[in-house]
Amino acid sequence: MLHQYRVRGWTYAVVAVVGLLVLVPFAWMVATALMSPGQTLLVPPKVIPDPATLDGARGVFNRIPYLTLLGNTVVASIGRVIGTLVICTLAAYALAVIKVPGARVILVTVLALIMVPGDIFVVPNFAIISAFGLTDTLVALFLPSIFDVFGVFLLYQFFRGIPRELVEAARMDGASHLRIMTTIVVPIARGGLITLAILTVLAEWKELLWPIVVNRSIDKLTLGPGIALLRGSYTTDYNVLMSAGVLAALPMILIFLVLQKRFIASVARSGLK
Amino acid sequence: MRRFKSPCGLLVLAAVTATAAALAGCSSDSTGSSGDGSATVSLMIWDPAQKAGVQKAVDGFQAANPAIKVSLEQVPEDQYYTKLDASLGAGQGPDVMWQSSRAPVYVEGGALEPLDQYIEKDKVSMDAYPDKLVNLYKLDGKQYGIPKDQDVWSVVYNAAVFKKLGVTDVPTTGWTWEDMVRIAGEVKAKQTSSADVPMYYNYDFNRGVGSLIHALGGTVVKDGRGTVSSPQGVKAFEMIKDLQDKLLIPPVKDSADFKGTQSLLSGSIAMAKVPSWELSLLAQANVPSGTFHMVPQPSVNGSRATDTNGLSYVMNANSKDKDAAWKLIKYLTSDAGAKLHAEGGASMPANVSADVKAAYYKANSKIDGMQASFDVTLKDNYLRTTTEFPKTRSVMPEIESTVAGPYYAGTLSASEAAGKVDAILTRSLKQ
Repeated sequence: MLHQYRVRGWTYAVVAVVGLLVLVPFAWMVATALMSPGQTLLVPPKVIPDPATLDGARGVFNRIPYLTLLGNTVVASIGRVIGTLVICTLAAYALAVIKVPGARVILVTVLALIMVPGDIFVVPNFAIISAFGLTDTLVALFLPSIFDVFGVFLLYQFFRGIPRELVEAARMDGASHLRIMTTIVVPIARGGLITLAILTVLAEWKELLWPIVVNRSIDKLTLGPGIALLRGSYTTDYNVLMSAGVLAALPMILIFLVLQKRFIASVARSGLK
Repeated sequence: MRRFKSPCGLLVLAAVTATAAALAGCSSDSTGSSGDGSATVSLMIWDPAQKAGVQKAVDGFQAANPAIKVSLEQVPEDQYYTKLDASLGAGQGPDVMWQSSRAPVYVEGGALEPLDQYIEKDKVSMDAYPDKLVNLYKLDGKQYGIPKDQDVWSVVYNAAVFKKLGVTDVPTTGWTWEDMVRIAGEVKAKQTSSADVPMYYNYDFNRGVGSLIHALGGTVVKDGRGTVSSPQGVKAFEMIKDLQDKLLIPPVKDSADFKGTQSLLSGSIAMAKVPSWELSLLAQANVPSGTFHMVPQPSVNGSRATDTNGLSYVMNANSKDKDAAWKLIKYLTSDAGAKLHAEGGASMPANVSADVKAAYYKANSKIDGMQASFDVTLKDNYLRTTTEFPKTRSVMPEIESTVAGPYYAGTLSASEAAGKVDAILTRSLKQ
């Protein structure tokens, strides 16, 4: 009994220390958001805003159209999730279930592409979007990223785990591939799709370079570039910048609190975050 | 594996793209003219501190040209050239944009429109701008940009900080490097926290060390080679390291995130070397007049050499409405446009007609001693290394991270640092 208690005590201590380490930057962000510009520059820094002020948050709303940017981010996230799920499901199904000719080569290529930094595709992607005449539109924000090689690989792993017998039985009964995919494979691999959806939303929320490059008007941008615009080259009002950070993270934190269990399960399932 | 075949639709997309492009006759863009003579021109800049000034000049343009609508976009500096590369490469991009010493790259790629025929047609005189700035954008005998501004470095001190600390020994117009070190030491002695520093001086090789080398009578590049391994080069490195070792400027490990002008505004340092493009932040700050005073660079070896560079407005070779784009460039660099830009917040205008100059000094009148200081500095300045030799631009980050950083941190000697800089510069010049 005593032994067990000691172990639990240690566990709590480790959890508390790691938790604090993780939370400190967030706490500092929130504290800075509530300071006046002068307080943010004190050396050594003060941690507690005194007096606390909401000037930073007001500054955010004055300088950038926060709600528009938030709306765009939500729209882009939804579009990207739907697009990614459809494309990646189809591709992974072809590779894992149908095993199209050359599937192994394609798979190695997929793996190779995962290892290439995404930023190098910015210029060719722009050329494609520009040829469509889609620059400076909301669609341009997420269109290139729905072809997500990582998503293909992730779903491939999930689909491969589906017993072949189920698929073969369905084929015997004359089901088409589309039907097998929608009624057997996708429901069984639901966990994988949810994981991919969550990871995709997180990725879109953090996007910075691509929206700046492809879109011109401030009302067609997302939160990442909006926050970047608050960072001056020579002076920065850190309270405003951090307020924007808090405001941008807030929706994500709310979503996390609501979907906490699914988040953790998804990361645990994939071993990735 | 060798075949770069995309598994998830990129090829399909590319094929669809080609078809769509063929069908649509390429892109449809919001820029361009419609039949009734009205046009939209897009203008792209990077400096948030100058956005208000540019907007003011744009408003003036629109009042004079109601048929042309200008959309001004400010892109963060870190992403500016990435965005240009992507959009110009695709035949799109802003109609009018800022360019700096990267201009030759875009000229070589055919992305910029030569302006000679427009200049000739409208009889625009390039005499309004300093020759050395005009020539920066003259490539292969063609003029690609009209100078917008010029960089002028000076030292600004916060009189309120001196007063609060009880230091009466303030910088003067005729001061020397030794005076600067002495005054900074006095401020340091009165500062309460050991973490406080009295001043800011730029560490970077291109502008900080380079200026001192010129002041000492040396050169950074000569005859296609780096020439920093000279007594002057070594001395220049040592002078800046000396400031750091005496704790007069922030240590190099903290310098990347240290913003001199911001610290000057908040009163956490007493003086700073400040470039002209940041001055409007001081001039427009909500502080009592008499807070900020300007003096020239402290003299080194009798010289006050500082580097200069000038931005320009250039035109996209693929602009849909080149006449409207030209009208905008012409207005922004004219007396009227430069005046409005100066009033709204700008670097020192490249257009040096008396009117524009007066407007600039008036807009910054909250900074005492500015005109006297500029008069001294403008005489002694030289073209920044990366401006005079654009090929060296790409290796500057390498010099900062592999030479300057280790040198100021104490793992390289000054002569080793100078030797390494020369090797890197010479390599870049041979490319």
